[in-house]
Amino acid sequence: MRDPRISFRSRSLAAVLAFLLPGVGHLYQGRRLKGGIFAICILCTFFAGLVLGEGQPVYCGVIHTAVGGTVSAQMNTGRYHTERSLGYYVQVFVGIPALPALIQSWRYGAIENTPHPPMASMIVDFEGNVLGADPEHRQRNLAVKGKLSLRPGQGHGMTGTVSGTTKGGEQVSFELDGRAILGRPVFGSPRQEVHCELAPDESGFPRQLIGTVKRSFLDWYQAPRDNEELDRMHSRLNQKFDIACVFTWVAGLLNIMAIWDAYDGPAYGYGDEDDSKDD
Amino acid sequence: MPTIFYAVPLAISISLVYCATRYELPERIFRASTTMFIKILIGMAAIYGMLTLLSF
Repeated sequence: MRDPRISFRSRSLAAVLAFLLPGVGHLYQGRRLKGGIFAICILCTFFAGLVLGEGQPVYCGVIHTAVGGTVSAQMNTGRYHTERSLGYYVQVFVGIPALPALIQSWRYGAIENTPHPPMASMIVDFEGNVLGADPEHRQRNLAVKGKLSLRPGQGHGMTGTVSGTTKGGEQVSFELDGRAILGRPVFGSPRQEVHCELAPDESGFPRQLIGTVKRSFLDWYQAPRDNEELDRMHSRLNQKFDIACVFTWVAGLLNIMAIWDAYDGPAYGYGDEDDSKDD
Repeated sequence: MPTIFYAVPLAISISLVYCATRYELPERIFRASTTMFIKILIGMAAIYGMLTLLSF
């Protein structure tokens, strides 16, 4: 039975507000201390998880491409299916802070979210590999980190340069000549894949540039990703990524209890009952 | 920082929110959550100790 000393106002509205932002339902009811406890504890737990996991633990879907093999979900133009993330079913109870994942899932499925050639000139930070062959026709892979400069060329081609340093510290520069493709604009990775054709080397062997450039925050935050990206997160953050996920799950679970408290009041009573009945 | 220490803020958060959903009176909430936090820490320390012993 609900305690008459507690002002619930509109219980349904309080529950909806408590769902949208932890603690707000209680503040609406005038239960300021509990509102403060819920807001601080739940939001801090959720955002601590986000910070620990570099913004990546919240997403509502994992993309599986129908092609599989070497084509990543970012560059895949074919069919795919989305596997719902079980963790998101509890993360969503944090409310507004977890809702961008639903918007990003919708944006990911939009027709215009496909791999595409760059629409305009761009100069961006680049990390990746130059694939080519040595004079003995053996495949050669050179890791490069630096700047990628692209500008539209004739037809569908692009021109430009990639310049930077190799792992050994050597300064290198390559001319681009041919097709360039950027990965899907909306994808759950801060790095956007880019594939470019390079001008052939002195011996006439074709070369290709495969790497990544920076993706804008609004295009990767809480967006669906593939298992490859999750593997990258695990290998970089190790246990921290799992702990980050646990923090965000726990925050969602805690807010379920807070929503119920806004709707129906405290489970054991007001708190001035006999101590012997304590849990 | 050892990963086990991440459990401390999580335990504080869980015990405070859980107890706040059980009672309305502030002093009762804080008393119950302190007790719960200590119980969680003791429980986790016991499990940690057992697992450490078993790993030898």
